Formats: sequence, C-alpha cells, structure tokens
Amino acid sequence: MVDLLDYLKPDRVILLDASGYESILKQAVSLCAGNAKLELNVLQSIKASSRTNAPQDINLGKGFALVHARSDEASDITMSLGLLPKAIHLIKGDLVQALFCIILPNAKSRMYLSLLARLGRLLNQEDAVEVFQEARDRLVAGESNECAKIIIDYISAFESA
Amino acid sequence: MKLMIIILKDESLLDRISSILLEVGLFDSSVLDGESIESLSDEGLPLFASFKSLFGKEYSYNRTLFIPVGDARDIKVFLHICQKEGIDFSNPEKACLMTLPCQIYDGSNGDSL
Repeated sequence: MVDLLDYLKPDRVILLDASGYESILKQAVSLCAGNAKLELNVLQSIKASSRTNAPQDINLGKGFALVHARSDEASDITMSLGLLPKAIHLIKGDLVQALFCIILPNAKSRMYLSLLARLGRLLNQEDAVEVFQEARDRLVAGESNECAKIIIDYISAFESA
Repeated sequence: MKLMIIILKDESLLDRISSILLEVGLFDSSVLDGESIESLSDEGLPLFASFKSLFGKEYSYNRTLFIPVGDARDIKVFLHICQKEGIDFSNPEKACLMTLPCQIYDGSNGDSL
C-alpha cells in the first residue's frame, strides 16, 4: 500500500508567495517538478486543461486544494505542498490555505489513485485543518524545520495507526 | 487469489468503501445494482407483502461489489481501515462481506503498484 511519506518529503514543503494564481501555480509546480523541462510541460498541460473544461486544479474543501498533472517527462510520482500565509480565494470553492501539487507519469495511474485516496482520508481527519494551520504559522514565523516536522509527524501517526 | 464480495445495504457507504479499496490498491472491482430477496418476494407473493409492515421498514435496493484480491493481506488492511472509519460489517443493516477462494483468474491487472 502507498505510504504518503514516500512522496511528501520535508524539503518539498514551502511557504507560497501569495501573489496571484499564476504565480502560486508556478511556485508549486516548480518545486514539485524539480527541473525546468518538466515544469514547463506541466504548466502547459494545466493551462490546456482549463481550456478543455477539464481543470486539473481542484478545491478539496476545508482549506485544501490540489493541482495535478500527468507527464511523460516524469519518471515517478512527485508531490509538493505549498502553504499560503493566509487562506485566500485561489480556486472556486472554499478559501485555500494549503495547495498540494502532484505530478505523475502516465504509467502510474493506479498508484496515483491509491495515493489520492490515502491523501483524501488524511485530510478528512478531524484535526487535519488545525495541524496544517499550525504548520503554516510555523513556516510564516520562519521555522521551516518545525513546520516540516509537524506535517511529517502528523502523517507518520496516520500511517502507523 | 480470492474474490471478496461486499453487499452494501446502506448504499451511502459506497463512496467511502470505493475510496478505501483504491487506497489499499484493490482495483478491477465491479459494482452491481441489487435488490434484496425480501423486496422481490414482496412483489410476487402477497403473503410476503405483510412482512413489510411487520418489520416496520422497507426492504430496499443494494449494491454488490465484486473485488478480486491477489494478496490476502490486503483484505486485512481493508478491514482495518474500514474499522477505523467506522464502517461496521457486523451491522446487518449496513453491509456484509465475504471472501471466496478463486482458483482461476485470467485478466489484466493494469499497471502494478
């Protein structure tokens, strides 16, 4: 079974500069992609999807959102988490405070479904909103290690339950 | 190889159970619409029509899931998560689950986990 800790690494959690949708998207994708070619490929894919009425950015509610894209340039599933200094209207629906970005190769669709189901259950935990807000506050205060620790500890507890 | 069958009397559980199946990596499932034998009896046999009022509730439709399981450990993981999520298979009003040995399975497993 998938383990969220295999995908969400401490160095892939950042504070996003809340300077508009395009900029936020670029920051999240850049961190997740890890290289310029894949980043460009994914950004183009996301823009194209919005024109075909099949948007790849999803408001999950309770302050969480997800942007995801497939790319043959990707060798494995990668995930990043961007936290916003304060909750904002980013994608239609609830205010967003945390944006997950996931890039996957076409051949990993099933694993991605498993990952998504597990992530969904994590974010539906009663205390998830509170924990991610606490992590965000630490990040805003410049305590990036503490922020990552809060999130990783939370996921670890979920995985071992 | 096993075949897991879940009969969902509470159809509202379908989304959550489907999500848990995906989480565990149990793919290639089928979901069928079903109707309880009590409900069918009610339609054709007047004798059974009175049972509905006797039990004070309507016999209803259900969903039946057929899930091929390659690794029996996945069933334990699935049940563990269901338990944590408050899905109780011991409650006859909600659902029931059974597994059967599957001697032959010939089909695609898609991309693997």
